[in-house]
Amino acid sequence: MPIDSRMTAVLSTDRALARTAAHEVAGRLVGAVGSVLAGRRDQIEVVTACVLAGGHLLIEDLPGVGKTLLAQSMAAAVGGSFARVQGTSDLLPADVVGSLAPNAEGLGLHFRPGPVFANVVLFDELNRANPRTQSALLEVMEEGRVTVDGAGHPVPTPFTVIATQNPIEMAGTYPLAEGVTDRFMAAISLGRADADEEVDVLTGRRGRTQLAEVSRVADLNALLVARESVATVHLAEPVARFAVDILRATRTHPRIRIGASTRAGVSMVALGRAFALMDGRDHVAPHDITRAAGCSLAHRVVVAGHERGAADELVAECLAAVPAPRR
Amino acid sequence: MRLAGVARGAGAYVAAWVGAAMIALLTGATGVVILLAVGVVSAVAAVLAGPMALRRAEVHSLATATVATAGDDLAWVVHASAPRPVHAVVRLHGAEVASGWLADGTTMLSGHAPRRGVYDTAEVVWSTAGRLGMVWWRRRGRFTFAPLHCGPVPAERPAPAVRAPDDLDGPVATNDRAGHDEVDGVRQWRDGDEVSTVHWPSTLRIGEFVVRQRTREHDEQWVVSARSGTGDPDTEAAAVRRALDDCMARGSSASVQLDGGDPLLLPTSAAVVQWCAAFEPVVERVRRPPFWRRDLGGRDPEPDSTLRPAGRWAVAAAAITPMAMLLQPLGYGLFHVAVVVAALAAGALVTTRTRDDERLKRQLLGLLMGLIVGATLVDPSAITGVMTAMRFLMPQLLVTLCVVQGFECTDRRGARVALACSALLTAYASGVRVDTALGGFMLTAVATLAFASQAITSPDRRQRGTADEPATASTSARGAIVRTGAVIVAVAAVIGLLAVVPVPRGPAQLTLPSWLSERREVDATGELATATGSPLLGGPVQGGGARTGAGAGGYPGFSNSMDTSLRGDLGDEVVLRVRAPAADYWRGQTFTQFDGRSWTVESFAGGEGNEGPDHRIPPADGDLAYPGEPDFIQTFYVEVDMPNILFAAPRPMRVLLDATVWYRPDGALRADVVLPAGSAYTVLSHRADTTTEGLRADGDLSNLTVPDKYLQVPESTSDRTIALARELSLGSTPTYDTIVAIQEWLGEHVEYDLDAPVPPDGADAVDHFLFESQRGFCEQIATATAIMLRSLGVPARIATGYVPSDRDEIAGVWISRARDAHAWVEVWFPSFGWVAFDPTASVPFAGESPAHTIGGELVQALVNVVADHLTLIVGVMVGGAALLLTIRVVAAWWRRRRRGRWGVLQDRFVAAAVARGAATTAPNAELADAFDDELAAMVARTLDECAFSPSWHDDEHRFHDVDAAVTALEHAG
Repeated sequence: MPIDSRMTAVLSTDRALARTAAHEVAGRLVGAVGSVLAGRRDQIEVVTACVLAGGHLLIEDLPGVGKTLLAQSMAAAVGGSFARVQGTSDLLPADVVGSLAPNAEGLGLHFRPGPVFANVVLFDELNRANPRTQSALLEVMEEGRVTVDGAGHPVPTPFTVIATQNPIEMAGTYPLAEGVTDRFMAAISLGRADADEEVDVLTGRRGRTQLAEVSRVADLNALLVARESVATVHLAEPVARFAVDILRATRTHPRIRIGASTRAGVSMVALGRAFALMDGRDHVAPHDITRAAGCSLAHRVVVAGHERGAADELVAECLAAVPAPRR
Repeated sequence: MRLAGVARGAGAYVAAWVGAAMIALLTGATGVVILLAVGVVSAVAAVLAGPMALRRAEVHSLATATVATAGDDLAWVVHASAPRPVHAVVRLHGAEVASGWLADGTTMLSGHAPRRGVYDTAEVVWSTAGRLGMVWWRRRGRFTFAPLHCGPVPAERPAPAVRAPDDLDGPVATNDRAGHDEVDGVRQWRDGDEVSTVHWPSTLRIGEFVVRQRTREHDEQWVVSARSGTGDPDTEAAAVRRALDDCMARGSSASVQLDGGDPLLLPTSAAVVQWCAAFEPVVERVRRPPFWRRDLGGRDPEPDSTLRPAGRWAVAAAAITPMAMLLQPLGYGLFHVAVVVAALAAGALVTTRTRDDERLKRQLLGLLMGLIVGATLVDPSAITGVMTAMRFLMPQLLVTLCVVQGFECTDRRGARVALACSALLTAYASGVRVDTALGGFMLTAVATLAFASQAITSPDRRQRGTADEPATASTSARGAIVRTGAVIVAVAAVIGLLAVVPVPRGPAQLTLPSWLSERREVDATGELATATGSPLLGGPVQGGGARTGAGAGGYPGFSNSMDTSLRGDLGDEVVLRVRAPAADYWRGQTFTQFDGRSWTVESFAGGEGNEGPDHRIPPADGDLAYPGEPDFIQTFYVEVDMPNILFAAPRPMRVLLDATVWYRPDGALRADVVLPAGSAYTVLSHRADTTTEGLRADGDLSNLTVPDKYLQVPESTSDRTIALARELSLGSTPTYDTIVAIQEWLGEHVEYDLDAPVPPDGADAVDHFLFESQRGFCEQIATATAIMLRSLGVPARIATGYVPSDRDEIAGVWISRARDAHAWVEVWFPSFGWVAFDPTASVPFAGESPAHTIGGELVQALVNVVADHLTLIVGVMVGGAALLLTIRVVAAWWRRRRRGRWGVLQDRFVAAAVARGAATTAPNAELADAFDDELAAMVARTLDECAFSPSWHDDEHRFHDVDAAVTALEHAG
């Protein structure tokens, strides 16, 4: 046996082991968050996949459905630091990323990190922050570092921004620019828990009261390893083409003014990989892509005529129009 | 559901049908009538195909963009269910805005945006002509959709716009120096202003924070004024849009002010378009012009008139059979057919390879090819008159015209004209041909025409929807069953239609066929003359006493003297084909004098013959006068060289033959030419309305005033012959029943035998036959009957000729072979004249022959064919089934080879899921949801792994598990 193929065999065994570990991590994360947040298993899985894929998440929903709780419990479960920013119109970029402050000795300035220097950042009501502040997030979300006064400051890894916005109450808000929405790997709406689960919340069996009980189910290193494993999930050529066809379908749909970008495709595939890993597979199947497309495309496409809420429907139409690859 | 119209070129079919009907009238050919029925059934099928396809095609919903500019490209998303593609047109207020073919599911139709306005309902008209593509039917529906605001095209000149006064609540002041902004004042500090913009001098002076007010272009606000009631809202809207768009392009915010009212802020360009679209809407329905101002041809219902090369070649192929079918019986050989086929191919090649604008080139080439074909086919020397022109010029002309038309056949209309020409040629050939190959030719021609007429309209692969779906295996089998069923129904309809069509009486009087393939005159003034070289017929008895009489193959009945004990060695060759509505005796000669061994023809003085070609035959001896026109038309097609005897059904009254003819008193007709093979002549006879009751009513037949020659009995007639005759007449006067009794006695006591012994020299032939050998053939049976009747005083004579043995139901002709040469008795009845009696041939009396219909005859022929070739048919069916099975097995093997065993499993899984309502485009996991079964999830997972996993390894165990699971899923529910 030539040396390189032996190496490949060894490597693939290692990868398989790593994937198994990642699969376990993912399962524990889902379990931990699920113990706090009532029901909505599907959304919890998307959040977990998003964290595993190294993306950021946008939650669009009404107040009081558990957006913050979800972010907090995720932070608690991964055992990282947690920070929270409340979006208001007078929030300045410096309030988010940090600013230069005088040294204690009074000589010169030193960088005082802002709240984004945490593993899980919850940016509540992002659309209430003014565009300038929103834009301040662009760099940190894409590159994982903050530049203040010409000096770069990397944020801790893993780094996940979970932003929320209220889609109904639009007065006094700044709609997110396309550049900002494009930075989010997935957008979900939590929806309401069903009746039994609400009873759980009211009686204290679930919900915020349980947040303290969430134990760290994974350390940050395990999460980083899991992220690497996600990248090793195999994406077969036909599946990649399928993803491209979906993107193209959004670009040619008559009711979509601006279709999904290539970055959207990257997010979709990364999310699909995470889904595959969470399902314990070493390859991305077409339904991973369709599932990922469902939550990673709708917030990025610009619907003609500004029909909010139609995007989900249109993306579903695009999905239905593209034949899935099979054996 | 309404009729949308008939595809262009349908008129050619109608014309071809009418032409074929004319041919049927002129020729009286059954084959043409069959073709006419096929045409009627095809027309009905073409009319019904549309509604049947349209019934299952339904448009469900319609959607489009919400903002557009008039005249821009605009796509429409149509959700429809359509098993076959249907064509759809989207109309807004009567104006067509999009059109295209709808597939099953969601289709995007490209079109253009309508004129300015706001639209929320559209009319969709979807139409189809089914598989046959001839008669188009349409359905319509109104659909509402999210309102489409269609703005005007911006005008050149903008509407007047003024800059709005600054309001206090301007933008936040920043220190951003980008852009060509200007400082235009100061104002009080507001939240959000940057510290660096503070105007410190003013701040210090006033004591409050004052910032530098900067205004950039995109902070400006412009108000565009619009006027209502200008009478031309479109122009006004276009001008307003131009002004608003200009503001937007500068980045300013724009408002519109209608007639000096409150300004309305339009924040986005979409809002601008919406406002302009909704501004004083002009709703104008596009109306169809009244019918008297419309184009005569009406609107072509067919959305596409292009002819694809495959269709063009099919049209050319469909023309080959009719041409060969027409040319072959006219004596053209393989060379001529090859020239015509090459010309057809050249036409197809030229029309598929040249561009549309090269029309002149095509026409010149077509003219050239027409000249070549015409020069090859037409032989001017053969044309001698109108009748020969019908035969020797018109077909050639038709073939040439069809070849020339082939060079013009570039669209579907041309293709239909070409097919109609081919159909007409088929009808022409069916009218001309009388041979047995006609049926096969007609079947081939009809099949190729049907195939070609579908090939020119069948949508190409792109319109049939997406790639090959795995579910096609079962649907194609169902389709084959449906198609076979449709063909069977069509055949049954044709036969059913023909069942009410009587067998044509004959050709029209105008075109009674008559021609001589070669004029070979003989010097015989009403006497017999043999065609030289004819192996079969005529000639006096030579080498007397030989069994074979008039040489090998000759029949002694067609000579002046017939020895009753001789019969030629007659073969199976077809001698005559007779187009006639009913079977009869085709009489050639009659014999009156009998000497105990031989019959002799009456002597005839001859003299001047009667010039043709239209001979009116006076009554011969014993014929009753008949004042009316003869109505029994027979056309004799001579297949081998014949003597100058004109065969005719008794009693001939009119003969069409371009020759001198002697009308003999004994009823025979002789010409001054022999009849070479390939000739034809027509006889019109009057058949007395003979029935059993009528004959019986004539009563006693022995006391009639007739010449003695019809009662002459030879000296040698034995007493026991006369005694037998007396006995059979039961001692009373002979009547019709006596004849029947004699025939019955002969039927019981005499054996029909072609090898009957020759009577010894000197013996009476009748006596020997009746009492010694009791074996014999028609001549002896007829002679015995005649002599017995004569001995009772009944006038009788012998006639010889042909009886029809077979009927060719397709061509509608009776076939007589050499061995059908026959002799029979003619008995004279006072009310009917000479009546033929024959116990051996089954020719019914004229008054009792059943009325035949073409359909009835076809069914009879089918039954006969099936009965005759049962083993062959069963063999072919078994063979066909085996072939089909083999094809399926090979196809399955091929599929397996191409798709792999897992691929086959995947296809089966998809088919099973789709059968349960899953979408064909869904991934495996979603297909599995259709089953609600853990097994399905396992199958989907394994199939995905097989397809996409890098670590996949094939494993017999897994394969068997999945195979079993798929089988279980296929059978579940």
